[in-house]
Amino acid sequence: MPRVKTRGGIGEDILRIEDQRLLTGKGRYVGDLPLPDVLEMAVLRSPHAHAAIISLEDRGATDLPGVSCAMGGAALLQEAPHLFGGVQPPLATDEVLYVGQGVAVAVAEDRYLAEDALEKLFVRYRRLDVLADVERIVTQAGGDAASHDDAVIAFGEIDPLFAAADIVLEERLAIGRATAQPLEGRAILAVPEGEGLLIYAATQGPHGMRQGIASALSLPPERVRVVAQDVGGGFGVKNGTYPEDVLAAYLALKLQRPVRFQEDRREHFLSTVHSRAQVHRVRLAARRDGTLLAIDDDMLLDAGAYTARINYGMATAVTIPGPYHLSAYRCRVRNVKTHKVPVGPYRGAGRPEGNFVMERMLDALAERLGLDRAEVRRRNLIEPHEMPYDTLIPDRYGHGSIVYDSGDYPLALETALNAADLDAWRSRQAEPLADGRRIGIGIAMFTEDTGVAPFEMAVTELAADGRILIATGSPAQGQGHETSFTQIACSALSQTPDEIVYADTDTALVPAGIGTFGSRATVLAGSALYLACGKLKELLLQEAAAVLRQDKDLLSLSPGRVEGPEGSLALSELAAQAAAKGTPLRALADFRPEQATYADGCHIAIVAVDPQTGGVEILRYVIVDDCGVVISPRQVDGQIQGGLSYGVAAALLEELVYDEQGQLLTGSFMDYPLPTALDVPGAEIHHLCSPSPRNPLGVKGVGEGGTVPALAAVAGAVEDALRPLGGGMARELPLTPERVVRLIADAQAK
Amino acid sequence: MKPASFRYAAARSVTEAVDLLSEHSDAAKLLAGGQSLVPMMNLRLSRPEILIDLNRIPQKDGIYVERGALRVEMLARQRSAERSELVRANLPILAEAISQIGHSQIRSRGTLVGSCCHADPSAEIPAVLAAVDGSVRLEGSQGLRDVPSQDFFLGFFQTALAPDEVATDLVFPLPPAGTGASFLEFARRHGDFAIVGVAALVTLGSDGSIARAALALAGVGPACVRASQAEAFLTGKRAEPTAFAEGARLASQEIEPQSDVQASEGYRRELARTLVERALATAAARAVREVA
Repeated sequence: MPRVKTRGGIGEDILRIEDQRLLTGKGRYVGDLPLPDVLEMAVLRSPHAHAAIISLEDRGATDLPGVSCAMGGAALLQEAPHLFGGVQPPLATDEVLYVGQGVAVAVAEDRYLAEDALEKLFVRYRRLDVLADVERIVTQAGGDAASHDDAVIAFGEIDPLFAAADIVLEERLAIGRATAQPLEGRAILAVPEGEGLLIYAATQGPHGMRQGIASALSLPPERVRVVAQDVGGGFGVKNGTYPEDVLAAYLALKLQRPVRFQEDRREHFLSTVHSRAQVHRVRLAARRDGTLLAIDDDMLLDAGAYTARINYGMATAVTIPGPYHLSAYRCRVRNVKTHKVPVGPYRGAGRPEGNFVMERMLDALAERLGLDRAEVRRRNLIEPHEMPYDTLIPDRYGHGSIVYDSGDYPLALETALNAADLDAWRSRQAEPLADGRRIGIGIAMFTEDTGVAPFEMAVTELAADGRILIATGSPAQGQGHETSFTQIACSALSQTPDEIVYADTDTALVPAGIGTFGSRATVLAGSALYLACGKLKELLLQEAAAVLRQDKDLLSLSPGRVEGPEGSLALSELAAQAAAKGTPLRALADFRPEQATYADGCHIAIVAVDPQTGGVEILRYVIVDDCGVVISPRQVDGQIQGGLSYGVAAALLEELVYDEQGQLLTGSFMDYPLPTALDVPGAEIHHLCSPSPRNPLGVKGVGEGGTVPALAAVAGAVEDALRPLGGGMARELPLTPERVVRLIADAQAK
Repeated sequence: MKPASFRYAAARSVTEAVDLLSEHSDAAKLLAGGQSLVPMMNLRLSRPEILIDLNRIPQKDGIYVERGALRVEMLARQRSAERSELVRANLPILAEAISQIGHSQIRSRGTLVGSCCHADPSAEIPAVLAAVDGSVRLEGSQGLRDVPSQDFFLGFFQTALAPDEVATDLVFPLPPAGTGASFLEFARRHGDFAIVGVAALVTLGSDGSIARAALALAGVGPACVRASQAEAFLTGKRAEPTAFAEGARLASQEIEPQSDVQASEGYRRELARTLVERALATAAARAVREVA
């Protein structure tokens, strides 16, 4: 762990450097790039969930003035069959598998004209049977054919433990389909350059996109350069290569003009990956004293059409055990094919769902045993002296088992309980509030794998003006890497923020990278950057020693300078000398940890529920979070608070509802309510610090920890509020007002 | 989400707008606040050939109290009415209802008249207009007419407006002294379309009993509706919780809500009962204060 204290260094509470630009309208987004001759692309999308394409007729689309190209999937297949090698074709040719799937594309001088052109393309469909309900699908189709895949994560002997257990609980728990809503939709601008392409993209992983586009277009990767400038939010969905990315890249090459695709909100709902969408049949075995023995879960994931890019159901499976001792565990994960938008990761990427399953089952155990919810958890927590703790959960990448690196879970629980002043709230629960509402308290703890492998790279270089340029393979989509990475560089190189130049992620600058997702950027790219800075420091001191004719070991860095006992040297002079010699002072580092880091924490939600309307208000929300060493305090709190919004959204608001015909019924912000500032309380955040031994900074990821336990904490609180009125268990999210009211009605009907 | 191409004409007077409408009939759409029309055009659900902009018509954004009624002109913005001292003093339920429409940015553009012409069944302003037996003033090539609210709102996004007519004013008769009113709605979030909304007015007689009750509900049918059976029951009853509860029960029985993705028919009915009961209690309490 670095100890050098620098103004603006690690742990200092500085303002976000990028905010000056972002908050004054100077962000550089794909939609703003001032390039001449850009063609805009629009996609004609299927209105049917499952249908055969009989024909596609062009009734004058290409004749419209300003339209460069308009074609359907069959024509594209004939013209460029090599584009169709991936999991999902860039356009459907003979069959559509979800409402929103692209069937034709048009490019024109502006988006209005491109959409006009689409209206001149007439598609005849023959409707086919629609698969929409996963539970019905697996019972009717009876298994394997219904799923994209079927996997089991397990350890220990499940069956004997269930046979001998004092208590066996079984529940059906469900988490609704939802997706991220970045303010900026997906966006790509493909510019033909030489024999290849320069691509500006709103992407979380430029290197992956380079590979995806190069491979789809049969180009060598070095002919594709991808740059991620400012990106208006990602949250998991702007990862990988989408069909529109391939189309824009192909059409730019074909037409030899820049082609831009800027997704609008309607098509975001219908074509950007959805997520969550899980149904669990879960069993819990325990002793009468509350000791957990085993969990057995059977998960169905409504995976939509085509294979998921990332099987986040497996992340759910490894998250379920959480911070608790378990003697045996089994989780079967099936991604069931449906005629809906394909799924992919969304903030938490399967972890909030897994946490929901475990924490709700612990609440059910507490209810059954008449134990306090905190006490049930206390009796099962892994203790700090057991760290590193081998969970025996098989690592889903096949590298042995998952070993938690550090953390003090009992301390997290007690800190949260004390901070929330629970006794006072509990005493207020006996009676309704003056307006008839009831108070409920929910508790959820979590562990989360953050900074998932395999690697990230960073480059540092002494720029011509003597400042230090830093670059990584993990671009920012609002996370504030310019600030946090600058802080890391400041500490490593004894600089101030003014001496650091943060570069956009550019595949031409950093040779390889994975990207920003899974709470990994600071852990992996941050560590790579720290290592690269260390190497650069050596280089700088070595060169300076030669110039100053002093012993290198006596030299040190200061802002903009190298200091020695017998004189100092400006870094700008060193840069000038390096330029003269033609040998840039540059360092590259590659950070490849063996295992993830495991963040943890505890959430306590206190809500007021109106039993008549089903309305829920969160009165107080306490978070204890342990993400190891904090680089950028206000950004960490911002991540936790922002993450909480997503948890509240999943618990109470957001759901992509499909009907039996596979039509999306909640395809706009009118029907798909995002939480506003009025719906999410300002959380009271407390930090613990268990540094991770698995990286040089001691950091753990924090991007998703605010989300992961919030589903269970809020649901548990709502359930708790209605228990005195005879309400039952909260099993299904989101808890819409109607579902809240039904917690009482359904329990009484039984 | 880009509109199909359309022509644009800025009317400088109501007469000019009527003339343009007469010329283009169904091919034309009137633009006032544009808070519903423009999104529908962007989705190409609405594709007028010509958009007639009313916003350039001078001196049509007033709010007046005259002849025992509050009159709101066609270009008066919702935000202006919400903050108007005249509205707050004479018809506070209107300000209370408007404060629950969308968000302040939307209310700054949206007009009261436009909301009524759009006739979304969950909208607030039509419910208030219906509750006070208000009317809509229309001007067309055949001249002027005043249409009472019950004849104006015909159904889901349907009104009595003829293709060549412009709605120029809303007229809200002021309730008699001794009236308390309350507008309550329940939505998923503040600013969302109401799942159910209720406008309740209770007029107390000198003996403290209910001389008159008016209940208009939004979100429970193809247009806002009056709960006339509940109103009849409440008239003459003492203003007390049992009466409100029974009135609410009756109101929830006489409406015909539909199920949709936001709420089932049964939940809407229960929600209507809850909100009517609460709105009646609040309105009666305010009436008592008024009398005192």
